[in-house]
Amino acid sequence: MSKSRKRPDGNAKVTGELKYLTDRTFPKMLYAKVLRSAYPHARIRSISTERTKELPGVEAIITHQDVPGVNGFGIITPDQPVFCDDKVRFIGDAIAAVAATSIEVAEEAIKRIDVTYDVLPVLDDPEKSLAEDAPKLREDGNVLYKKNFTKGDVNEGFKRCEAIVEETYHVPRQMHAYMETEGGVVVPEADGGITVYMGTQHGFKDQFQLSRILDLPKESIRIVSSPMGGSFGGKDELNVQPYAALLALKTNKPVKLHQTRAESVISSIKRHPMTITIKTGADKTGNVIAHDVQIVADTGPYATLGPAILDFAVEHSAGPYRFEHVAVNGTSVLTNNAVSGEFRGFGGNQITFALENQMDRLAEQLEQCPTAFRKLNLRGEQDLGPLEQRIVPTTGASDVLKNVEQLKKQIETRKDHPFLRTGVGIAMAMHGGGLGFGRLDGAGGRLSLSDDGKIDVSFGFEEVGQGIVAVIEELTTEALQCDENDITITIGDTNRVPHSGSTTASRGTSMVWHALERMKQEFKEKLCEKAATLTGEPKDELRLGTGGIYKGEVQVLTYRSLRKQLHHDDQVVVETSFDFPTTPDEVDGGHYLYTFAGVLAAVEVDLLTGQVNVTHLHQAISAGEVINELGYKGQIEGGGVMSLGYSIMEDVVMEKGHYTKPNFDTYMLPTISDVPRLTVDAIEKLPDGDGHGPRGVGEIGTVAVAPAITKAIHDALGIWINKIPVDPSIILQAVEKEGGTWWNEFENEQPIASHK
Amino acid sequence: MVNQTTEHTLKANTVVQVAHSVKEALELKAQRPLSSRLISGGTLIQLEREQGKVLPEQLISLEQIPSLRGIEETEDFMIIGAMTTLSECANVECLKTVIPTVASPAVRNRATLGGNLMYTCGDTIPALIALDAKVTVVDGAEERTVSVIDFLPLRADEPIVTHIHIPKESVESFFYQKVGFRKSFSKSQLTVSSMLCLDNQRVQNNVRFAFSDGERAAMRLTSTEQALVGQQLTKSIIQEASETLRKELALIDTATTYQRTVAKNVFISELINRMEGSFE
Repeated sequence: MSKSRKRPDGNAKVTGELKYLTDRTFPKMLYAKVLRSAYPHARIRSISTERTKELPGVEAIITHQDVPGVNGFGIITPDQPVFCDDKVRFIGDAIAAVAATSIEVAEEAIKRIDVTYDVLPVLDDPEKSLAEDAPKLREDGNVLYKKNFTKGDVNEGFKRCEAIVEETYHVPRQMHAYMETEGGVVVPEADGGITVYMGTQHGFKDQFQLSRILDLPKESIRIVSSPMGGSFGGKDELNVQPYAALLALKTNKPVKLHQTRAESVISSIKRHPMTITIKTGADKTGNVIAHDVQIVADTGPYATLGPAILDFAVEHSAGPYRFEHVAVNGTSVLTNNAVSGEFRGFGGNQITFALENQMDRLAEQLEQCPTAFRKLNLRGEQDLGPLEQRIVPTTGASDVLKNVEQLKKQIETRKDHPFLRTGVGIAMAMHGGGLGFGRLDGAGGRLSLSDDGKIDVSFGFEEVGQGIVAVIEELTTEALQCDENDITITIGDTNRVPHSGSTTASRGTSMVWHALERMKQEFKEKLCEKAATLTGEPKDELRLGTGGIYKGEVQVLTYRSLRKQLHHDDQVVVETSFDFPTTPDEVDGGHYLYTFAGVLAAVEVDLLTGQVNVTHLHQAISAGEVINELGYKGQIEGGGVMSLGYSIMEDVVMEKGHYTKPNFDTYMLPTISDVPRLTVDAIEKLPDGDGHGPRGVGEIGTVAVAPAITKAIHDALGIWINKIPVDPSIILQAVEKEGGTWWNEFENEQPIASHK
Repeated sequence: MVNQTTEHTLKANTVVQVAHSVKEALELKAQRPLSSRLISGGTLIQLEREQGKVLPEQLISLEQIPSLRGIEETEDFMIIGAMTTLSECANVECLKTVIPTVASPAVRNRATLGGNLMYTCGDTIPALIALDAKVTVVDGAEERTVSVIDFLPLRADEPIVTHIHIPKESVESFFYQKVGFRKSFSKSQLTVSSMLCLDNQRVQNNVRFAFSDGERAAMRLTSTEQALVGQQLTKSIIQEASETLRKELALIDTATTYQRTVAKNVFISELINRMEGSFE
């Protein structure tokens, strides 16, 4: 890694100088609050806003009757009501919203909205939803989506197996926990349109969805959407934009809506909890012959991207391995729990936890080294992808495995402490980038010479904290051989940016690189041509450089004077639009570009408390060239810590459809004290002639952390973990079952060396 | 059919009254005993407000009472003013292992030792019990100094804590451990603390064991203390103490199996650590 440029947005963020969209205020601005359901499942009998109208300061109250267009949102299917009319299906369902002159009045106003309900049975578990007599959350039942994949015949395969492992794994509902909760301001414009100042991962998608809800032409809706204080997938779907927009249009005043943390917990989407049952069998030499996977996802009451997430989990069920017979049955089940949806890793984290556990258990049963066992089953450079589709050749799988294998040999675990046990585990993952075959996955960008003589580079991507601005700066200055003072970066405003698709699926870096590759030559030529005309120098001898146009080492024209000397109408603009590369094979959702992670975790388990202390988390990443070293490390380290939380502490527990941990005083996220030693190795090499440039690393750092940690616990204590977050009481029970290993040592007078 | 109707008026405007002396604070409190509340660092009240609890009409701030601040050292005691912040308390030798486990640095800069004692399950309470601290409270006209255990039930009447007196016993014999849900800034799952002075491996009379389940006030584990006092700290005594401790913890019906097991493990490991020649 050599490019350690500081991110352009860094200083303003760490000093607090930067104004987020939720910090904005406007003259005459009103404040909005949303009334959410009192029950996770109920029929609405009546909604009365009478008592609210008397309250001074209330300027508008809206319900389902005030939605002029489609009363629903959802990136693929608009099945989540903006406002519920007949039924509520989870505790975060919206019923009404109020705009008032202060937050306090708005809060009081929503308390005065009288709703009567007939309470319905709560489907708080997919098993309950799938029962024959379960009430239906949708007319056609409680299965949102099914996805199967079959290769060969697993039943035949199992007949040839010497070792078979069958287990059920449980992974939790995780919260994105972005620092900036959802919100911003919607401002009505003189032309009858609106400007929406709210963070999102895809401004144009919000524009489309709002147009459908508000029954306004898309052109009348401007979305200003960057910067934002984190998203992690959580702001890909629409959240509170419709409420502020409807209220701004109704009152003709700017309306601010910024959710409190508690409101965010109630309404926001979460990572899908899944129950994954897997039967995996290998022959005596260790070749995995058959792999039978059942995935049940709790998707909550509405779709958002639930189906795509299940597709992704199914696709990655065999990860970086090549198994002869594979059968995967995935079911995404509707419940009255929180809406599950987009979250960094997109179904990969859940399935990888289960898959990697299977690999370790099988290796143990076969008495093989887990690394050697993985190697034996690993994909080769030219192998097909997991859905038997053609993919870009890659040695990533073996590269990352080699890296962690070497590190593992160097790590010594201490076994001499009476009350602590240490262990090391490794795990790996393969992760597809982009949306996959058959999904609209357009991208694009624009280069122009702006009126102030700056080279403006523009994308429809959003800065969610991931560092896309630094990536754009790094790649643009490299592509055009200019420096950062020569360029301006325009993102996050539908009035000013081209369509680039969603800021999601680890596609940003890749798309910026592709766009610049397509635009750079034409843009350089256009500028040199203009410069040649103005200076009389031969065009072919001119080049772009720092500050302007050069002939050899001599600057002949600054960008500024070039712009000044051009006629106003003589604009230098190059645009491109193209699709994210997908597999040439018609495999629905199949990916083409994959990244890989090899993870090593070292843990200390406290025998007295059962608590797990992760002491070292190492990730080897294969994703092509590093564009910005700090950004890359930030993504992998940050992703690692996020998944450390997923592994040992985070779970949005719901009981009967209600949250039991409604805020950050009880929902535990890792703090800086929980952050272990973090190391990252970037494996930049790609096969010769790859031509696809750098891959995005937004997700890969989160995918294989949990199984590495649970394997490390197994290494320390010999206990297999089927459920995350790891429950210390389960570890303690296992220790106590053996009479407390430390206590036995004490009683049997076999004290081990001093720990002092 | 259920009505989602709640009777509410607009949020009461809470008035903060700043008292400049303990006397003034008591007078203010006496004026509105039911609709006011004393506030020191305010970190707990802030948390309660976030949880949706309605603030009282009047908050009586103790921040501007100089006599309640600061740390004084006498020959036998460390005397800590109740309004001394936890950050400042971190410099007191016997609290060095305790204070960093409480909340976060920002909270500790506001929160006070007196406030932590007034909080149902303040993390410092088990430590102060084990340290045999005394608490001076003023309630009405009366001032009294009582043990922490005796102080706990007095909290219901919202007295003003003025000082905490910590005897200067041997710091090496003091032990404290909080088990949270993560390494810092966490609610306690359980907290244990002990004082165990040894003279030639014999347990001295001032043995104290305290346990808190993180929800309710801390308690002393007197049977376990009795099992140890005057005994030579040997393997068999530790085995006996372990059994006594197990039985004593089993009587705490609000505690979970996990809490009981961890409390026993941590206490016994401390005894083993203190026993000469163990694990050496």
